[in-house]
Amino acid sequence: MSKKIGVIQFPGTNCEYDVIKALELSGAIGEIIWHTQKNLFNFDALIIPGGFAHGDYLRPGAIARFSPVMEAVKEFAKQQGPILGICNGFQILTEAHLLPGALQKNVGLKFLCKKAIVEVVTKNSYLTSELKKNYLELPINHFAGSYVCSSSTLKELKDNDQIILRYQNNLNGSLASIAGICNKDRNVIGLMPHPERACNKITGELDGLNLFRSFINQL
Amino acid sequence: MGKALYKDLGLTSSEYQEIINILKREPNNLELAMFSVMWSEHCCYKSSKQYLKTLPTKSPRVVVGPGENAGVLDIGDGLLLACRIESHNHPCAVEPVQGAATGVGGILRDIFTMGARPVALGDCIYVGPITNKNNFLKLEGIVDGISSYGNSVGVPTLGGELHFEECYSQNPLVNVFCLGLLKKEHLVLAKATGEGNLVVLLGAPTGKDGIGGVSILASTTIDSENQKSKLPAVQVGDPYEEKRLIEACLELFSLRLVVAIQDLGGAGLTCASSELAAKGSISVEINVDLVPLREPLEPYEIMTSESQERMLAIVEPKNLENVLEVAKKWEINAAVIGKLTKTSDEPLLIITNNEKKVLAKVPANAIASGPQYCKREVIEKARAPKQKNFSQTFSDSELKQYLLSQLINHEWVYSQYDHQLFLNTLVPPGHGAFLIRASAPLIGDYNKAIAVSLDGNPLWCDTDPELGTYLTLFEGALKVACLGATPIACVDCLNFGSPEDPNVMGDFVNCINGLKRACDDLGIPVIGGNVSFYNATDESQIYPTPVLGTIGLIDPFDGKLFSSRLDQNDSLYLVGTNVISELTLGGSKLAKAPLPLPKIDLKNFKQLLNFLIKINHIKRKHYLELFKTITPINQGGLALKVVELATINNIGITINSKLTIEELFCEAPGSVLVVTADDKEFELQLKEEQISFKKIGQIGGSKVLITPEFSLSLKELIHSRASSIKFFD
Repeated sequence: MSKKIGVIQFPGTNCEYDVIKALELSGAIGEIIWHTQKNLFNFDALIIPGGFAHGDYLRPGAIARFSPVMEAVKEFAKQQGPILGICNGFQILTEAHLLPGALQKNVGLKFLCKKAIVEVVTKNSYLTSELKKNYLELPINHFAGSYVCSSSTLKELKDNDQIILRYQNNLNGSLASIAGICNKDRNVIGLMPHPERACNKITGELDGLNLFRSFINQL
Repeated sequence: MGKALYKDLGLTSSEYQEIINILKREPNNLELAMFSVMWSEHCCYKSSKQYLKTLPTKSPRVVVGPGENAGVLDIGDGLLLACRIESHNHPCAVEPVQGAATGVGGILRDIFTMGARPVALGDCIYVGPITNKNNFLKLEGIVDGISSYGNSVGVPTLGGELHFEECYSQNPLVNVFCLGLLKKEHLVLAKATGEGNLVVLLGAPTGKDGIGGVSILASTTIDSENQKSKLPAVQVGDPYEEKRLIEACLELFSLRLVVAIQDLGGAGLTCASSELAAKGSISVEINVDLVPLREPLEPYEIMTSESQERMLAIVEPKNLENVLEVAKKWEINAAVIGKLTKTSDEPLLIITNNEKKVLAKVPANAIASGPQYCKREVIEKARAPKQKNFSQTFSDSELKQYLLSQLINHEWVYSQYDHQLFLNTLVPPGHGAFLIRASAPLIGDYNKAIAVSLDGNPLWCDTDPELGTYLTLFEGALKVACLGATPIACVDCLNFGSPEDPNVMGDFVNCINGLKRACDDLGIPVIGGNVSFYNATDESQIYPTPVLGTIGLIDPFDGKLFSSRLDQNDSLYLVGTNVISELTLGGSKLAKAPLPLPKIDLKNFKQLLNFLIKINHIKRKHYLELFKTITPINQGGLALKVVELATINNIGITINSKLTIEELFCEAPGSVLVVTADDKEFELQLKEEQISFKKIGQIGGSKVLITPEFSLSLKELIHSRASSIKFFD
């Protein structure tokens, strides 16, 4: 039976269909969940995709965290359900306090649509446990992707092996070059790069597909 | 009072008289305001209409030609493509960020109002040299505006061009292109039908945006005691509102809840309602008190506001509830503001209020079509005589300076644009034309690819408007062919100075003639266009600047792309050496004297074009190795293309064939540079296809050698390019 993955759609989200394509390539089935939906049944995992949920009004993710669906998402997380937040999804997870830290404006104050080389810091995660490579080429596409957190949080992240991906070329000024992290229980993951944009040789490298496959196979 | 007012609103006395003749009475102030915005150059094309009519607009693929909001092509298997290019020049001169942002918003609406999901944007930016701080800030603002709006609304920006010329310092140009896809059955036109059907305003509330000239009315209100200060409002865009509007509209179309729809742009509600009425031959009644407002507005403000992110839909009463439900889901306003009354050959646009008072009553056809009589004087502009056989010499340092000045880091621009969304990008920005898969969310994946080239050559057109425009379309055709696509249509955005200047009209008419001739010679139609006049100040006038978008199709698309690689010891060939019949430096910045533009041999050009399209489908052994990189030559000539290839790929190139200065720097579109790893097989194939070629060099090393004596270090080139766009103190 193919794994069923809920893909949350807010007004302003735009990467949901790309994520569904990536899930199909990974052998799973993606289903769109509108942000007003309060019940989440029978999903093996949830993905919050990239885009501009609620127009990024106030701050990216600041309004989305109050959307009705987020109560169910929090409950899902509490029950150890796997959740993957990509780009805007990562921002929303930090605003909803399901992940520590925050994403600030890029250091150059310019939107960045570029290729990033990220280092796989730990293989102890849904996302990376099946990876054979230590360095991945993934696209970044954001205006506010610079990760920041308190020094005590940073220590915790390092001590608990919660940093999953690090930029080799830190283009946005992220603290400790952090590109992706997970929570203490390791079921909630957030990353700024877009793995769904690296699932096809012709439009990008295949490193994103490897991340998705690893994620799906762990479920 | 009315007499003086019409002048202030920008109408001529003969136009005012024409209005009186049409109405058979004097217009009231509201009617006058409505006529003045509708009869403005931007809205009714009064200076250009008669010439635009001469362009070829038909082909078997054309479903909708010029005259609707966007041109629509049939690209097979039930899939349609909609596209258009529009200018937003004057707002960008005043407020670059919002000017550019609202330009993007406007062109998007032109596309999804046809029922298409927008899947690609392109931007053509013309500013003054950025060594001047003000010009750099304009560029930065324009790119910021396109970036913030395009990315946020969720449509990738995939291509465009960047020009730096002094004449654009005071008059920057921003032409935005958009392409969308739709299934045949979802095509919607702006033709209102059905007596009793409802007029529904969707989207943002209406405010004072864009009410410039009409604000003069404020100073002549009948009640002079009520003098409110009316500040002119620059249009401000909200991409999040637009995104919700796109999704809501596409959902309405897929559920067949809309009879007709028109987007609101220039002249706001007046334009949308009069066009819907005129196209459908049915009278429309609008109640201004039902329009959702952002702030208190007078009726003339409501009818002429250019507030962004609004659409006007015609809905059958039985579908209203469902329409409101879709609008509610997407959190957009949907208000019934009027209804369709009687079908008629002379449909009327009637404005009322809650007291049922008729505030205005105008014939829709007359107000929508513009004044009948607008005759501009046309005088051929006298230009410096072209010197044939003028032999020019250049020192190495002159050539180096020229090449470095043309080596621009376009990545500075396109890295600020999301160019990956939807996973369709096959050839991204930075490669001339762009190529996308024909696929879109909720529409499907089709085994086709679409190429788009956006081109403008102001120097060519200032040298020879007719031939310059002709060559510009050929440039577009060649660029899409280099990606393997067959050119199938074009759209145009014509940017000029004042139409009241007979020389400008002379250039305009010549450019139209050149475009027509090129379309006829290449066999492709113009499916949409836009004209922007008055790009001039007292001190300066822009070069004639026709900007063309050429659309190409690969059907079926086999999923293979050329590698775009350059490797050590590969050979560099010039292919299509017999296409340009007269090589000159005409139209090039390098030329030291006025020179004629180069000429193209049409037969040889077509042969090369067909060959480039064909090799994409050749399945011979190792063909991807035979044609590793294909680069068309245009601005800057062969030498610049070689420098660009080397710099971008970080590998040296040596030209070891002796080439004349004309061969090195001629800008005519007609030959391409090809890199190959197998000379023997390559030459065999070209000879078989009877394509002219010349081996000119080799890939490798750490220098670019234009001649054995004139070389440029790769390191210096890379550094120069990387710092080409920045704030110069």
